[in-house]
Amino acid sequence: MPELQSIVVVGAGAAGLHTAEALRVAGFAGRLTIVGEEADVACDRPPLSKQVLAGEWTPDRAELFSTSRLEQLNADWRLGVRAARLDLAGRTVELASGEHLSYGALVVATGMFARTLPHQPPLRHLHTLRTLQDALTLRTSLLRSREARRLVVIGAGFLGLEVAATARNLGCDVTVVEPQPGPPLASRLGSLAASRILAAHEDRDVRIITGQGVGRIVGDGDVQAVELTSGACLRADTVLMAIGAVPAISWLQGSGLDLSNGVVCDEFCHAGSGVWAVGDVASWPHPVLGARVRLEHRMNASEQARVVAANIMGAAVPFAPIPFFWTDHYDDKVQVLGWFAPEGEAEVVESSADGRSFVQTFSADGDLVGALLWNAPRRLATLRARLTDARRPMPDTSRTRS
Amino acid sequence: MTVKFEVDHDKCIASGACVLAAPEVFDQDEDGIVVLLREEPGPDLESSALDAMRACPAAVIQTVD
Repeated sequence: MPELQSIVVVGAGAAGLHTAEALRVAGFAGRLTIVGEEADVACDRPPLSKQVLAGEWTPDRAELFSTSRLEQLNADWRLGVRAARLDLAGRTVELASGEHLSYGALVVATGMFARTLPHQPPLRHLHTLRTLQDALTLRTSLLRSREARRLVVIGAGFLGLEVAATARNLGCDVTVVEPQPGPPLASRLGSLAASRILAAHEDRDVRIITGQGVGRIVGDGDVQAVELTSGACLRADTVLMAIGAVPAISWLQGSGLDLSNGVVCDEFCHAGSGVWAVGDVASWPHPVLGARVRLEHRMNASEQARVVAANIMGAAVPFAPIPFFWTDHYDDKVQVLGWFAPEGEAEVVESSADGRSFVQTFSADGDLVGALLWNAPRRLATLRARLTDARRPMPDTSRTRS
Repeated sequence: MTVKFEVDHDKCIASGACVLAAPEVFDQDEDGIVVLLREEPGPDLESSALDAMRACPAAVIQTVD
């Protein structure tokens, strides 16, 4: 491989910054350009629904990298500008400003944007939550008046329920609507943890309505109500749409890259022709799992960044992480390592006498594949080691990179 | 010049990534929250401590100028 002269990283969030840093650590001394759509380097996203929305942290506390760490990247910054188009054959990214950036290697780390209801016109106090600005404007809506404290959250996923907890702590009257039937999060965490989270919300008088779709959100400038497909109508002063996120890859349309599941990569996270993908946008065949995955977890962004940087620099390391994520609801801290197997077996392997903490393991076909820790972070190291040991030898990782 | 580290305990989400990277420099208390064992790890441990800083998913660890 000829020596790399220049690398362009598109995306200045966790995935982009960690990749840039890992490239420098791995010895890349050439020109490193980082393109970010937000006017500033993105902040860390997990605190947005928690400490930032709660007002416990000023926004600078949620920074991803300190100033000195950013300076050490020794990067050319293009902030406040979108990437508009990719010329794969010409190895050039065109920015919305008209500038063309040529590269030896391109890192796609553009993350996701929040999904919204189709055909929904904008209304005041109708929100999505993805960026720091989103969190601050949602907070302003929630606290604007003592008489306007009714929040309706659409979507009972991790984001929706975390916001529900934070808003409840702020004194809001909170209702969560979820179109899927059954306990929220059960498909992600299993029924035990899901029912505990549900109970924690209900104990605090958060209303959770499941199995009912949203027809439309109505208002006259300001949001006023959420109409359900059942015909029921929920009055609201503020509404959050927390119905998932979509990979931000429209700028890659027509480039020739396979975009059928985010940016489709090989096990080295290479999408082809010197293009690599990191973070929420990247799907790749997990060599141990034997399936293609795309992980929208914070931890994945930094772990994948390190592997991609090494591979750009000439290594051929298949990316085979044990996934890890966490979610907080009121005083409960939930951590998940590995995979939850909906069809497999879940077993509580330890629990405290007061019931405030427990550890659950997940197995599939008799093999340990994951673990859930409820207020039990000290058990992570042991479980990580057990999960590593439980891995079968990889079937075929000898294939070299094309 | 030796590198000095600091941690922001309130930001810690108890992933244990730091202990995995640099067990001589970082530990966790009973709630899993980071404990900085050596502010100035010295030349032998410096690179693993920097690895821990980079591995942390919550930007808890920083170097001090």
